[in-house]
Amino acid sequence: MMKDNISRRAFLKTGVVVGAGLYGLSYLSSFEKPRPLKTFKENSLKKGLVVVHGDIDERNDEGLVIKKMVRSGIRAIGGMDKLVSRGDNVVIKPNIAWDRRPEYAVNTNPFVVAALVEMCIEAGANRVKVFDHTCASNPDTSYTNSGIEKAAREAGAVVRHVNKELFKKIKIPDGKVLDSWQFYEELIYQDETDILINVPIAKQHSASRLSMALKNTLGMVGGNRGSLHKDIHPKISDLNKVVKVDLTILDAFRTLKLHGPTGGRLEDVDNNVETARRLVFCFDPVAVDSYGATLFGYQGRDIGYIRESYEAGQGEIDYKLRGFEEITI
Amino acid sequence: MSRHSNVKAAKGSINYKIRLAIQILIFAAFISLLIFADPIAEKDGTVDVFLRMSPLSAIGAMVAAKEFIVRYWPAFIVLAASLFLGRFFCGWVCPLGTTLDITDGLLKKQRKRVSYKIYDGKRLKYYILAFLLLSLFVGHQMVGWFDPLSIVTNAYTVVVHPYLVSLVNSLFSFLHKFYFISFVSDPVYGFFKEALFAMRPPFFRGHLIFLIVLSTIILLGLFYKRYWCRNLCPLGALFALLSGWSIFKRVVGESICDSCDICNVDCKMGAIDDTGKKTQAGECVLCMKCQNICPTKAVRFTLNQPPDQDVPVNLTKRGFVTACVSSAVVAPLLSLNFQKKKNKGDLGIIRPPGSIPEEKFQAKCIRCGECMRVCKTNGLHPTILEAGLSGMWTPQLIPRIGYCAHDCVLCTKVCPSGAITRLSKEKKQRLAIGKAKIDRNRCIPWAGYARLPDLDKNWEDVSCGVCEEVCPVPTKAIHFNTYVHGNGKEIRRVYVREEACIGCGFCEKVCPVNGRSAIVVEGIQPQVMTNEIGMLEKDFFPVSIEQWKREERTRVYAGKDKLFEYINGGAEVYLSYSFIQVSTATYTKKDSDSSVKVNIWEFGSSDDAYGVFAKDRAGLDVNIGNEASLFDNYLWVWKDKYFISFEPYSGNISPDDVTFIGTSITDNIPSGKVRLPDILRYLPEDGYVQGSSRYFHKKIILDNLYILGRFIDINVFNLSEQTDAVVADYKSAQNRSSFKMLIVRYPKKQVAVESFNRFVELRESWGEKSLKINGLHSFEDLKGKFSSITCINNILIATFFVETREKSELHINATILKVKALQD
Repeated sequence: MMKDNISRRAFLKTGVVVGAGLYGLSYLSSFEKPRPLKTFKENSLKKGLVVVHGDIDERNDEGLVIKKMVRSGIRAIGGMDKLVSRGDNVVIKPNIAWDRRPEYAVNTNPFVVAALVEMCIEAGANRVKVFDHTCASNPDTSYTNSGIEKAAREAGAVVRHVNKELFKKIKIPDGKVLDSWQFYEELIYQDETDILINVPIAKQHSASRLSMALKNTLGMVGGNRGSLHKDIHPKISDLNKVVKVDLTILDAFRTLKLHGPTGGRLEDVDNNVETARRLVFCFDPVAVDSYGATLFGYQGRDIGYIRESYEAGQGEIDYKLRGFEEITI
Repeated sequence: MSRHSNVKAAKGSINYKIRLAIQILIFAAFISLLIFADPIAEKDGTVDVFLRMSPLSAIGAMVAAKEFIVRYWPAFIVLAASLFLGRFFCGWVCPLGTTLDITDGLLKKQRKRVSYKIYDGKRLKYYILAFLLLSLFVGHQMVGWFDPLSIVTNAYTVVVHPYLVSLVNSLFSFLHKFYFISFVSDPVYGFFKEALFAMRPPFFRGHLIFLIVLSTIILLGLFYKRYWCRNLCPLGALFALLSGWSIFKRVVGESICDSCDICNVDCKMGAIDDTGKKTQAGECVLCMKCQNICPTKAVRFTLNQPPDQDVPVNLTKRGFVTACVSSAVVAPLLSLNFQKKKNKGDLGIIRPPGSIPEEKFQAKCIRCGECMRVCKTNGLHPTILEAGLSGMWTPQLIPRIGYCAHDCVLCTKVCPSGAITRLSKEKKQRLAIGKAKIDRNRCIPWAGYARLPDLDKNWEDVSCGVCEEVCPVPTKAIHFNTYVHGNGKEIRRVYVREEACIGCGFCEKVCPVNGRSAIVVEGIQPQVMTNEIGMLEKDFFPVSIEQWKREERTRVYAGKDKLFEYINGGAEVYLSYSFIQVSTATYTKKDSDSSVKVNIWEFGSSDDAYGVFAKDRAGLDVNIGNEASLFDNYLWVWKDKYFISFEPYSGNISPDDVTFIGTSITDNIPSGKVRLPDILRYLPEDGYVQGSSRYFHKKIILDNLYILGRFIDINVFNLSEQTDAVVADYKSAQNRSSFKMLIVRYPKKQVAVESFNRFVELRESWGEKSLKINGLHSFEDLKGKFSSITCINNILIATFFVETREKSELHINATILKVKALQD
């Protein structure tokens, strides 16, 4: 049993020691280990754009069709082992922004995510993480309703909610309108992730006209995201200067044509073989977006942020330039 | 317990331990129901079962709302059980009692040090009960503030849980900074987050107020154990009044008891008198502690209590009268509702979805805070004075902190008293709990500059639209109007379609304007269903326009098949443009049989809507929509991607009638920035007949435009949905004869060249004379009129029925110059 009374001397002594200790600790904590930013992973993937078409009917289940599509698409650009080496930490960033079920085409198709997780693990990835900074304040429902949490977990991924404490302010090199912004730690530091795979869905978006690969970056950042919507096009381009995406797979299996980005009406979802029902694979997000724009009747140049990103040298707007391949399942 | 006939043989400790175990289990159940409230409520579990056990709030809600609430059946069971078991609820079940047992244990040492005692008036709680029950008849339900189950639910929801979570959160984020600790602490943190509570740190306004209330209740334990239960709790008083017939009464074996005073000192309810032999039945909570600690094992609990061992309640007449009088005085005071007065009867606060009308809501709501606990976005908070003093601590949505999630009905599932009624998700998604209003002095696109942290930036674009983006209404309750500023900048300004707005507050939550949001949701009461969502077209047809009344049925024909259903012949014409849907309604004039039929055609682009409008354009130009023409009492309007036709249906309709209806309906249709189809710009101005251009894609339209004097079976110009084409009339100043011009734009140059060649071949096969200069072919037809055709890049240009060859070629060359200028 501790003695109940302490002397004045003891009080001062312990006070000084504890105070100094706490101060020292917080002083230490102010020195953060300089962490190297993630760089692009060296890879031997093909540089061309691959589009895989596929459709579902009574005999072909959506899950199987999409799995096949993802596998043949990845094979066509060289294979997952050309990108993922044994022991790599992989982050897959789908769009889980909204609290809606997959058929409304506002979140990435869960089967696409699951198939990618599987392939990364087969290629020897050490750990595959799946997460998104949702637009809904409580990510719980978005994760469940989108079906991604369950599908990715079953495929072997670690599915986590974004921790609001872990956004780090990063300087944007040559930012056109943004000097710096808050980025999610687990996406931008080399010690957190070796490979970043962006898996957006193609949909109409009110502020930026279309939401695809480049726009999906808004789910990787924190801060006052609402304020990004003013002058959004150069800002999207600026954010993409920091995020180093190694591979982009655009989910255009279902696309949302109207009332995006939240949707909620099945009438607005496009399930046509001519303009949807496909997946797009490329290392270059600008090429992917430029192709994706054609699905909505635009050219890449028509969309501000695609043009801005092209002009900033983040990719090629002519998606056929480095090779173009179409596969039908 | 009662089976121990022999006092000596009673194994007191066993009873005590059974009670302790049950009490701990029940408390654990209560806490688990709070922690896992979301998933349990999702599965329609009975999260609120503890709250429904309180007969006090059951009586309160039922009497105040003047209706029987079946959901309170557990309260009746408890009430019935109390008749036989006395105040077992207080000692065995009540989570507040258990909480106080724990804190009293922690305060044990301090309690011994406190030398003076405060008033230990057991009758106080009876007066409080009388006060509360009487006020029910005056019309105020204050029971919720005093019900121990409401208090304890609030305590854990509003105070303990948020404090604990933020403590854990800040501790682990502090540890995260040290990389030599974080690799251990981070997984632990992850476990906490995943396994225990979702860990989105909840936070409630007014938590400090409740902290004070809770601390007071706990700190009264410095003077007496369970001070709240023995002296203040009105529910305890209610049970005490019923305990007279209890079959478990404390009986002391007088011959064995040596009046050692241990039980008297240790009794947390102060129910035992100095001798240790007499008991106040209404105070004993059957905790069995006295049985457990009795050195002589003289205590047992049984039916047959010697009459002299019972100490009756000593209520004073004066106290009772005071309670009743004060209740009668205070209750009307509470009706003086400043907020209501100020807001002209409408409080303007947002109640949870499914809330019953305000008056009844305040009567039924027992202020338990369960809805706030389960709110997924942490948007529900207790009111302090917004609903008036009498409505204190009722739930209110504060959208700036958390909006009402579209797909969530949890709060409706956990309300114990039915102040929030059960709602299906489908119904909830259409129930308006408020309406959003835009403050144009703060809204970025309206005010024209940014109220953002980085104000000094020189913005090029003040369009914002975050509120539109997040609006969960499937057809959006927020829309844009594009406004072109004098300096040529385009600004997309938002407006709210109130009839579709459900008041969820997502827009208010995300508005990037610092401080007060530029879009604010005002609560509406009673809550109403919004117009059918998904029927955008219905919104375009107002129910009435002054004396014109819409017939109830409006019809929508969307897609190709439905269009054939609507108009069998002629549907192809509309389908050759990007037809989406047509909706139709009829408006009848009051007290007459005159009616007007309105068709709103929606197309994929404004170009196509223009094409349909220009196709059979006739009559006078009028200033409605983007362009409109009036022919007798027929009116056709083009606005954005809509083509709207107004035609007389029955009775006498004047041109003024259709113009009036046309203006009202057209104004109702939102519009973006619109311009004429691109290809029209290639037409040379010289001699152009205003309004004569016909814009189209497919052969079917060209067939009805007289350009060749004979019908051509084959699609010589290779027209398809990918081609843009225009035919326009020209008139020269000198002679009155007119000629026509055709311009077709192809997606590829090869197609243009091929079409050109095919057309030349065709003309030659008709045996017409031709002349060729630099890729420009001219023909003279049988009537002596001239026609020229050429092709530049992906564009084909042709003239028909021109007087002279020179003039024909002149016109082609003028067009070529225009095309070159525009294409460079």
